[in-house]
Amino acid sequence: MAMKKQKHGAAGFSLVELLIGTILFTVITGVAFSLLVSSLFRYQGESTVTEAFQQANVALDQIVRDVHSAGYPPRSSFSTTVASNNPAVYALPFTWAPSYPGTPCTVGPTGTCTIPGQYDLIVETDLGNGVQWIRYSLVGTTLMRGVAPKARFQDPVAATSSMVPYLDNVMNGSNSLPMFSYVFDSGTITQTPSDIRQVNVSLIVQSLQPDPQTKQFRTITLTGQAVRFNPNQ
Amino acid sequence: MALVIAIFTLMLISVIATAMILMAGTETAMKGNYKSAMHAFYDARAGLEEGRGRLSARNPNSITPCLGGAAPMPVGQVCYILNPSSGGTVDPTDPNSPYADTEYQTEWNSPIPTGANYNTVISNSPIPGTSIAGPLYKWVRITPRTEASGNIDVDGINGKDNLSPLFYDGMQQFLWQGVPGSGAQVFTITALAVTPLKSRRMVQYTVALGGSAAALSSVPAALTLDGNGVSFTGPSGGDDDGNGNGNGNRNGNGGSSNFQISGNDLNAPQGSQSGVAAIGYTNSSDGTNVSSAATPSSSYVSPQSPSVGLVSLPPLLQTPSGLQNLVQSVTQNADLVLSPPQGGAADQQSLPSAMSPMNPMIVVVNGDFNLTHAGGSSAFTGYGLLLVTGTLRYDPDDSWNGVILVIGKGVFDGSRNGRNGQINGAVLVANTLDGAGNLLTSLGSASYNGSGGGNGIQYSSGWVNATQALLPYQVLSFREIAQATP
Repeated sequence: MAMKKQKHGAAGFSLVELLIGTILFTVITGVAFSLLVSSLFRYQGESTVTEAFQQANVALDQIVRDVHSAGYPPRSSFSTTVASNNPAVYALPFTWAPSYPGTPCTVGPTGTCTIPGQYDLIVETDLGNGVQWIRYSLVGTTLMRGVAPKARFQDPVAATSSMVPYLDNVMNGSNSLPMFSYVFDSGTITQTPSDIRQVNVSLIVQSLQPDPQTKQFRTITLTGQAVRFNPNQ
Repeated sequence: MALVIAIFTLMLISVIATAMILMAGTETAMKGNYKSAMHAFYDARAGLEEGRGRLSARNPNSITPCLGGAAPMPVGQVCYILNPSSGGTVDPTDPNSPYADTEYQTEWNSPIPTGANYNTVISNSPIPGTSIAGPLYKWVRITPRTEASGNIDVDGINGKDNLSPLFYDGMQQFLWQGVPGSGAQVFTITALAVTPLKSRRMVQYTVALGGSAAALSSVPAALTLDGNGVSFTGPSGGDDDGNGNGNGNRNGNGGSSNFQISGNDLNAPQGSQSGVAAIGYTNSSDGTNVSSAATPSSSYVSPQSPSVGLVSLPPLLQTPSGLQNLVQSVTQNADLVLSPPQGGAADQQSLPSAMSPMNPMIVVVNGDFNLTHAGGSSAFTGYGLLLVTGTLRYDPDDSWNGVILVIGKGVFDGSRNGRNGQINGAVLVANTLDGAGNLLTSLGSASYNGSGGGNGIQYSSGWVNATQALLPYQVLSFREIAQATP
């Protein structure tokens, strides 16, 4: 019986072809997967940062809105008698500590105020339910917010001590970057809280999760300028 | 095999691209939202500023007729400045409109008025003949302010009501009691802005004529001597014909024979009499000196009795610091500020030639001022608000229509002989500075010397109001009204 000679290349791959194909497939798939994984990590990292940015943006926007309306309604909205007898009906732009409502302290790094300070601010304004104290205070890495109705003979610091967490992972403290800095009315010398015309807000916020690639937490810095529109009392 | 690899690779690339597009889209949307919200806020503020600016009677696009025509603007009247986009409509009264004014009901506890109580004007923000649309606010609402609408109990009496419009005297708001010249009306300006991305911001101003303007309307006498130990000198006999020759003729043509300080309002409606005191002093212990110098009594007339008497002033005008604030406020809004050198004096030749009855101006002189026309030249007439911090030397040949404030040294020297000149409006003299120019702790001894004669001072509410209108509306308060995105 005569054996039929099989024609070379007529059917199947040779071992070499198969090896080359497998290697190529592995390399390309590996590259593609590594690209995919890195992109997914990147996406996860960016999503975390975006979330932190969004939360910080909301907080910053609220601070700016509160400062815009600080001092509403002003003392001039009331008769002198009413304003003198009931200071809770009108709003000062910014509450101070210590010695509120006595002689105002001075604001700034060399001033005597603890509030308004670099990490603590109390705004007085009426958002529709009477004059309120609205406090923003950085406790550790959490920006706290507290609201209390303004009341005569009451200490605003104590009144707003029941604050709730407003923004997490605020890293201003560990970066020694003041959260609040102040710009005063031009020509003012005393630099008391009532002289504050603009509050510059800087928030360094860290992402909730570390970056999957670098294993490092990422931070973003938001800054805003909040002008107080209400006139001096 | 190659096809499988290619499809797989393409699929991976598609996934990656999609993820990146989504991420970029999210960030773009976030930034877009933020930008839109900021856009809406500044658009709304632009609306507030347009409303504030157009409240002024001096503004060429003044909305005074839109306020209802009456002064003060009655409670229940509303004026809207509408700013529809090209081809669009804005109707704040339509509850189905995305630009409905729902805040009105909240503030006034009633629907938006209709008929004669509802007026509208069109915004002048878009620049005619161009494609520049101007700020994208939708409407600006102007109403009088009341206790209820402002949600404030101004006087602590009878709660918050809508009975009386609120007024402002430069220091505080109060309920208008129907007394003309008792401050300036307070208005509420509210603006809504909606951007194409549907961001909504509503902001609100409370405005009134500035402290200085409000104080001007509260001037209680044709001549007010504000302070302690004030002095008044009226015309004496002698050379009364104003020619300076010392012949002592009283020819009835100027000089002291026609001198009169009258608190009767030059602009009182025909057949009625209203006005203020002829001469007012603020410290009762000065009463004897001033009254005894103001003779004969026929030269000092007023609908009030006594025509020369004790008057009360708004708080802004009661202290050196308050008056100093007034000086600063007027200076900030002056058309012209003159600062003559030490020992020198400015004079009326420095005043703008454009000053006229139709174009009164604010002139501030930081020093002495001679309202004394040069020899040989014709008598001078000025219009508007003249504020002099030094000595005002007044030639009774010359005239002024408006308000003259002599605040600082507090010396009004009208001893130069003259006639026919007259001041229509009001004069206030106050000594707030010592000889070295330092602010006094309490008001000093202001002096008015009218011994030179002339026709004197005639109170005119018309000129006081015209002067008041020169000053801008001041922002008393600001707030933002939270908006729900529809």
